[in-house]
Amino acid sequence: MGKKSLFSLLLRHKYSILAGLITLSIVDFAQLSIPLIIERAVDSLTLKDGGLRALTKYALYILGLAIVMSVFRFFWRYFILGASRKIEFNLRNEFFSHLQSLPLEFFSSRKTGDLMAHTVNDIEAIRMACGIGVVVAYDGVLLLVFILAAISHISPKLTLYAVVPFSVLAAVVFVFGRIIEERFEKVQSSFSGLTEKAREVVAGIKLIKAFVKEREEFNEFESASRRYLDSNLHLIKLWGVYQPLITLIAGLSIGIFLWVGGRSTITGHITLGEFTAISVYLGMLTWPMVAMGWAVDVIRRGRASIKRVNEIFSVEAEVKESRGSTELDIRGSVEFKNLRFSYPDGKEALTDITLSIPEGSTLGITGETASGKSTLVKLLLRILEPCENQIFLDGIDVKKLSRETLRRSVVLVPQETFIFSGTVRDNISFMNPSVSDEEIIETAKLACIYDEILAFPEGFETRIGERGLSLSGGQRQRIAIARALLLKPNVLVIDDVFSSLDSHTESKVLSNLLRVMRGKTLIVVSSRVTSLRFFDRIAVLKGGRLVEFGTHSDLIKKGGLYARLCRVQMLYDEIDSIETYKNNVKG
Amino acid sequence: MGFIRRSYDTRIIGWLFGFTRPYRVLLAISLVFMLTTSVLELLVPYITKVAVDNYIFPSWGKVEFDAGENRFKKLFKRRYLQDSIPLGGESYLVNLSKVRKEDRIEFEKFGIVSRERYIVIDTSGLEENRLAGIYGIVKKHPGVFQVRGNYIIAGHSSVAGIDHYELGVLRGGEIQKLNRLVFFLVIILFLVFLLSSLYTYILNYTGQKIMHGMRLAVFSHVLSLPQSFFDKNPVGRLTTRITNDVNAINEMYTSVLVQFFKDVILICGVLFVMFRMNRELTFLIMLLTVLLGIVAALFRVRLKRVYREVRRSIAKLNSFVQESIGGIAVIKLYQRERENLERFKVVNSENLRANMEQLFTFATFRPIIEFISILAVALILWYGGLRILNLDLTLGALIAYLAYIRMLFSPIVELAEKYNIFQSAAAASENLYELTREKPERRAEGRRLDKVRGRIEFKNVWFSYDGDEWILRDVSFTVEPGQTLALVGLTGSGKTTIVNLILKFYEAQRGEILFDGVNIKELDPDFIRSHVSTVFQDLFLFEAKDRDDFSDKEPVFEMLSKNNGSFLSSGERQLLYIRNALLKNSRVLILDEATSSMDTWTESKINELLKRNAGKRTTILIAHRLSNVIQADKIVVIHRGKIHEVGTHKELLMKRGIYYNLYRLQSGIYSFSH
Repeated sequence: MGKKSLFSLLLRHKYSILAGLITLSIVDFAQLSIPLIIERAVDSLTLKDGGLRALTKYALYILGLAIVMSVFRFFWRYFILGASRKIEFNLRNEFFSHLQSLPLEFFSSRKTGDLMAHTVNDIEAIRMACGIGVVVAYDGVLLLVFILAAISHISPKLTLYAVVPFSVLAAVVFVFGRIIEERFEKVQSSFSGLTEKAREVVAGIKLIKAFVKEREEFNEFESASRRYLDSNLHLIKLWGVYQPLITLIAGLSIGIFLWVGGRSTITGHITLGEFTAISVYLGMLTWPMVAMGWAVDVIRRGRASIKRVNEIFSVEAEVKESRGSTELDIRGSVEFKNLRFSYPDGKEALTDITLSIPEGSTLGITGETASGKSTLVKLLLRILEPCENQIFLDGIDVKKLSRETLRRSVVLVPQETFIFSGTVRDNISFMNPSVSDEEIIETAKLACIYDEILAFPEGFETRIGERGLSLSGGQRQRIAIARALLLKPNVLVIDDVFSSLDSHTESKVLSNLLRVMRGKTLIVVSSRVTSLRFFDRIAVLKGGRLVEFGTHSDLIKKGGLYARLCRVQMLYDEIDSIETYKNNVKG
Repeated sequence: MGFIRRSYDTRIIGWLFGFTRPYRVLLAISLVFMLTTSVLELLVPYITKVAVDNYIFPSWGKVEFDAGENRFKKLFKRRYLQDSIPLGGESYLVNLSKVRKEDRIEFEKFGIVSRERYIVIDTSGLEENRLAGIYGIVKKHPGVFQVRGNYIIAGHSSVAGIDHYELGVLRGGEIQKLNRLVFFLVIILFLVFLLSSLYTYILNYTGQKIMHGMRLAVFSHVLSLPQSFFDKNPVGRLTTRITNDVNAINEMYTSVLVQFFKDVILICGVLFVMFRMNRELTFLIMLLTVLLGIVAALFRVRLKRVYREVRRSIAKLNSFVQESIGGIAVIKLYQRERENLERFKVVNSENLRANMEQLFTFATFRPIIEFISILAVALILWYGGLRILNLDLTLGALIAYLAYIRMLFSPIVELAEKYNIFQSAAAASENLYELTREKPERRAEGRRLDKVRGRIEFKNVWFSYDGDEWILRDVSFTVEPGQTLALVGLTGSGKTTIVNLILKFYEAQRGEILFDGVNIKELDPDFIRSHVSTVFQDLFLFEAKDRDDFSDKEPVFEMLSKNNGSFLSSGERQLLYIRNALLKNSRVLILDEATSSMDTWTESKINELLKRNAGKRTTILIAHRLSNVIQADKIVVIHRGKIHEVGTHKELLMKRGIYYNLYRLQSGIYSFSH
C-alpha cells in the first residue's frame, strides 16, 4: 500500500481536474471582464454621446457573459468537485479494504471511534482539500493576479495604493487565521474533554448515585463546561475582531481609492468609467484574500488527515503466508504440546498444556473465569499467535498452515456474539453467497432458534441489530451458532456461547451439535460443567494449567475439581426441576 | 392539531428564552450596536455616490427657458435662483446636485437641460496666489472659460485639452471637499469596525454564557433522573444531548438568528435608499429580488432533502464501520472480508450518490443565483444608464446601485443555506426540551430520618425490570440493626436486584421495603444512599481521587499504600473500595461480591475484619464463596427470584437442605483448589 499524498490522489483524476481548472479560468476571465464593460458603459454616458444603442450593447455583453459564466460554473463544479467525490469514494474503499486485512491485535489496540473517524471524517477532510481547497486556492491566485493586472493596466499608480491595504489584509488573514486555528483547536479539545466528562458520568451514573456524588460530579462537569466556555471566549476575542477587521480594511481601500482615485478623475488622469471599473475590481479583491486564507486552512487539514490515514495504511496487513498449501483439508485431530502462552504485558495465561484428541472426537473444556479457556481456543485459531511446535492439527504445526486453510476448516464461535444490522437471514447466512433457504432453516432448527424466528414479526426477514428488533442474549448466541454450523466445518470450536441459555435449551443445542458433528471434531468451552457430560474428553483448566483430563466418568470417579463442580451444578439444576415440577402441578 | 403543535413550539421557545434572562441588557445593547452598524454600512456606498455626483463629476448643468412665464420657471426662480449662475437672458447654470428629485423630472419634461456639464470655480474668498494661478490657466486657454462675476465657468468636454496639473489647480476646491468626505468615510469605517467588533463579541459572549447555563441545567437534570431512565437511553445519546445539541442551539443563536435580524434590516435599508435614488429602477431590482427569493426558496427545499440524504448516508457509513470493527473477529475468522467490502462499497456509493446530488444541487442553483445577480448588474447599467440620459438618475447613484445590489443579494442566498442550521437547532431544542420534561427521581416530599438505626425489611416484594418477567418473587426478609445478612444464590438469581431496590434505583411493583420501619417510597433517595455504603462487584469509578490518604491502622490495607503505581489490579481495587466503604462509617454496609477478585489470604483478612466490627453496622453480604458467609447472622438462599431457605449457618446445615449440600460441595472444591 503506497503512501498517499494530496497530489498523488489528484493525479489519478488529472484530466477531470484539468478540465475543471480550464472551465474555472473561463468563469474567472468572464467575471474579470465585467468591470471593463461597466467602464465602457459609464464612459459612453459621460464622455461620448453613446446613447441608448451603446448602453443596450453593453448590457447585452454582460448578459452574454452571465450565460457563459453560469454554464461554465456548472462544469467546474462538476469536474473538480466531482473528481474530489470520486477520490473520496475510492480512497474510502481502499482504506476499508486495508483495514479489514489488518491483524486482529491491531483492533484491540485501537479505539473504534478513532477508526470510524479515519474512515469517515479524515477522508472527508481529504476530499475537501482535493476539491474545494484546490478550487479556492487556484481561483484566489488567478483572480488576485488578474485583478491587480487589470487595475495596473488602467492606472499603475492606483494599483500601488490598492495593494497597500490588501497586503495588510493578506497579512491579517494569514496571521489571524493561524492564531484562530490554534484557538479553535483548543476549543475542540476542551469540547472533547467536556464530552468525555458527560459520557463518563452517564456511564457511571449508578455508582454516582450510590455514593451520592452528584454534587461533586456536577462541579467537575461545571469546570469542564467552564473550560470549554473559556476557550470559546478566548477564540471569540479574536473572532469578534477578525470579520470586522476584514470589512474595515476592504472599506479603507475604498476610502483610499476614493481619495486618490477621485482626485485622479478630477484631474483627468482617469475617466469616470475607469474610476467605476476600479471600484468594482476593488470590491472583487476581498474574496481572493479571504479565499487564500481559507484554502491554506482546508489544505492543511487535508494534509493532517492524510497523514493520519497514511499511518494506518503503513500498518502491515496480516502476513499472507506462502508456506503451506491452501488446498489442504484438515481432518481434525488436535494436539497441544507443552503449550505456553504469555500476553504482551507479561501475564502468563497458559502453562504447559499438553493434550490431544483424535479426529472426529469431541472435547469439552471447562474451568473458572480467567482459567485460560478462551486463550486456548484463540491460540488454536491463531487469533493469538502461538509459538512454533506447540499446536498441531492433523499433525501439522498450525504455524505452518496458512490462516485461510486453518480458518476454512476450523470454525470458531467467539464468546462475544456479534449481530449486525440486517435481517435474521443475513445474520445467519453471514454474507455467504451460496446458501439456500433450506440450509438456513435447517441450521436454525439445529441451533434451536427456528421457532423463535418464526414468532418474530417478519420471520427470517425481521430486521435485527441496531435500529431493529433487539434480541435476548440467548437468541444472539443461538444465531451465532447457526451461523457457524452453516459453514459445515470439519472442526467446530464453540467458546462458551451458552451462558444466556437455560439448561434445557442448552442441552438440546448440545445434543444437536453432537449429532451433526458426528465424525467431525467438536470442541466446546463451557463454564457450566454438566453441559459437557456427553463429550468424549473433558479438560479442566485452573490458573492456566490443565488440572484434569479424561472422560466424564473417569473424572467423576477421580472425585476431583470436576466432580465437585458437577455436583454444585446438579444441585442448582435440581432446584430448577423442582420449580418446574411445582409449576406444572400448579398449572 | 396545528394549535397543539403551535403551543408546544411556543413552550419550547419560552423555555429557550428563559435562559437569556441574565443577559437581556447585553443583548439589547448588541442589538442597538448592530442596527447602528447596518445604518453606517448603508452609508458607505452613498458616500461614494455623493463624491461622484458632487465633486468628481461636475454637477453644474445649463438650464434654458423660453421667453415668457410658465409655472415651472416660477418654481425654478423661487427654489433654485440662489444655487444658480445667470448666464444672461433666460439661461442659467444650476447646481444639479441641489435640485430636488421631483423637480428634476419636471426639468426633463420641459427638455431644457443640456447634457453638457460645467466646471464652476467660485473665486470669492480664494487666496491671492491661488487666484493668480487660476487666472493664469484661464488666460493660457482662451475661449474655454467664461467669467461671470465671481465664477469662472467651463464646459466639461472643453477642458479635455487642459493638463492634469492645471485641472488640479482649477478644481482644488472640489478636491478639498472630496478629501473631507473621505475623512468622514474613514471615520464611519472605524465606527463600523468598533461597533461590529463589539456586538460580535457581546453576542458570542452571551451565546457562550447562555449555553454554559443551559448545559449545566440539562446536566443537573440528567443527574437527577431515575436509574430506569438510564437503562432505556444509551450513553451515547445522552452525551450528545448534553454536548452537541446545546451547541447546535448556540450556532443557531449566534450565526442564524442574529444574522437574520441584521440581514432583514440591511435588506430594508438598501431597498429604502435605492427607492430614494430611483423608484422605477428599484422596482425592477425588487422584481429580480423576488425572483432570487423564489429560487433561493426552491434551493432551500431541495437542499434540505439533499442534506438529509447526506447526513443519513454518513450515519450509515459510521455505523457500518462501527459494526465491522465490532465484528472484525467473526469477519476474519469466517473469511468474509471480500463480501463485507462489497457491502461497504454499497454503503459508500450511497454516500457518493448523496454527495453527487448535493453537488448537482449546488452546481445548478448557485450559477442560477449568480446569473440573477449579474442580470441585475446589466439591468442597472442599461436601465440606469437610460435614466441618466434622461437626467433621472445621477452617475454616482448608478455606481452606488452596483454596490447596493451586492448588499441586497448575498443575505438572501445565505439565508437559504443557513436554514439548515436553523432546522437542526430546532430539532436539538425539541430533544432538550423533552429531556428536561423527564421526571426526576427525587420528589419534593422525600423524607429524611433524624436518626438511622439500620433496620431493613422486605415485605412480599415483587419486582420486574421490564414488566414482563419477575426478577423477585414474593421476597420477604428482615435485617435488624447491627446484624449481618448473607444472600446466597447463582448469578441471575436476583441478589443484586435486592441491592438495587434498597438503594432506590428502582421501585418494587408489589410489596414494600422498609428502612427503619419507614417505607422507602417516602424517603429521599440521597438520604438512603448516604447512609448505605455499597461496594459493587464490578463497578469502579473515581479511581485517582480515592487513593490519596493511606494512614490506616488495618494491616490488610497496607498493601495499598505499598503499591504506588497507577495501575491497580481488580483485587486491589476491591480492597480499596471496601476500605473506603468502611471509612465512611455508615449504618448500613452492602458488599456485592466485593471480594470476588481477591486472593484467599486477603479475603480471609477482610472476613476477620468484618467479624470484629460486626454489630457496629448492618451488613448485607453477597458472596459466591460460601466460606465468606458462615459468620452471618442470617443466610438467605435465593434462586430465580425466590427465597428458598433462611437461617444461620448452623441452622441451615442442620436442615440438610440446599445450603447444606452447597456448602459441603463448595468447601470441598475450595479446599481442593486453594
